[in-house]
Amino acid sequence: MAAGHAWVLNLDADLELGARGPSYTPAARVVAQMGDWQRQLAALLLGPEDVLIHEGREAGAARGCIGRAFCMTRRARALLERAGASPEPSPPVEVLAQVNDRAFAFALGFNLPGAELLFDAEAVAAKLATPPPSGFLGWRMKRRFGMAGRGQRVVRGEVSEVDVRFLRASVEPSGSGLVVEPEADVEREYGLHGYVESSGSLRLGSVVVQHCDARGQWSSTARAALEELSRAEADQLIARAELVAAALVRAGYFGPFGIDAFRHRAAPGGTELHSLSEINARYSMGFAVGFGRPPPPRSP
Amino acid sequence: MSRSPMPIEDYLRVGGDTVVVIERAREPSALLARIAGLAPWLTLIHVPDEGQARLRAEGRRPHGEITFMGPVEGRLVEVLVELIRALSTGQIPFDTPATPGLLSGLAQKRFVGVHVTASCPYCPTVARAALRLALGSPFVDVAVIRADHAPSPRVLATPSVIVDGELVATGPVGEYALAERVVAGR
Repeated sequence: MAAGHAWVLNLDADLELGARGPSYTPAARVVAQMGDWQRQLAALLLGPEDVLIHEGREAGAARGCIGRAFCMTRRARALLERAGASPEPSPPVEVLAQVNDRAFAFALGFNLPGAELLFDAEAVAAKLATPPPSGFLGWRMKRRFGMAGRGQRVVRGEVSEVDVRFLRASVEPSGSGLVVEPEADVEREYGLHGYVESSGSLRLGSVVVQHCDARGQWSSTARAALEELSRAEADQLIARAELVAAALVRAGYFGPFGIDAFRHRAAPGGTELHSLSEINARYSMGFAVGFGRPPPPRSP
Repeated sequence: MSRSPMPIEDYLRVGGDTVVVIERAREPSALLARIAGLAPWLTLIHVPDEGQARLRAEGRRPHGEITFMGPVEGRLVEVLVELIRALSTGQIPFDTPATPGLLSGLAQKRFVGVHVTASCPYCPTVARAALRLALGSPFVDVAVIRADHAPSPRVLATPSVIVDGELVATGPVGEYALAERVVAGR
């Protein structure tokens, strides 16, 4: 085997996992959106002898390397194999789809008040017509798979025609469903990354602060300063990550993962920590910041 | 008439909710792995940790925080087994039917530390009683603490029960009497 490893940074993995049908090809705007982030992520995750594999690389460019992916989807595996790399062991694609589905995180029960997973357009519309819980700004619709804020829409007040088109496209005709949760007035976003083995062995990194733009797209990650969270809040994040790891192991997943959390303004005048807003059962942009370099790939 | 003890594999052969045990220790416990082998509803997570061994158990909420500080061995094993079974089945084997009603009056968190050793004859009964309170109320957090691994100047004998920093019992104490002291608080 070669000294370095071959990496595919398929940041659109969630879109592929959520796509219906056997084949997935990213849209041109998705490819354009990923380019800059891939360069930033490569600088954090890849070692000096590692090779980055993408569509433009010639066949056999990573011959003899063990292959690793941001998320080992069918497309990532095919790219690695075309490059001559041997993909490291990874969970089946069906498991990856199950655990990266927002329905998986929703089922763990650590949801915002009033959050629901709905499969029917009329039920979503009825939900949006109700006032959000006290302290929240409106409702957020989240498709079950999405990347970087895509597939989400916030409704504050009247439901517009665009909102209705979005929700209908999300639940019809195959009824994949939407998570509808109250829109929080977010003050600060956090993340905690880990690596779990199928045996249940778990390593967690440090809590990080994540900066996102108004559309929910990632812009930067930094380790959280000590004063960011109280001891009890940090313990709460760790406890959530441990339970998420247990749920992942139970589902047959092993590998890198991260949880997202946020602090939001709550009535009256205070703030609250929402300790599980997303599960990413894969690498993520801030993974190396909080966790450090991932463990070396295992031989296939 | 004496009852023959039920084999552990029969005792744990129940259909119930998932239970998670998170163990922080240098090495994963072989004992826990054996228990998990008998209980398919149990998921073990091991976090390598050079500090004092500790274990946290989670079932379907609501229940209080449940922690074991120090190694689970000797007479404490049966305490843990009974606990995880109750977490899975949701059936809490209260000694006294009045205990849940007493706990329902709680509106503030209580932290109950049960200081034990692995060989003390009275410790399992008191630890079990305290853990039933945590199972019965999300307002009761219980830590079963190995006094020989984490000595406390307040603890001169085992079992000793400390509620929110106040020593409330030393030696055997029944479930309802313990619940009264936990509810009364400091």
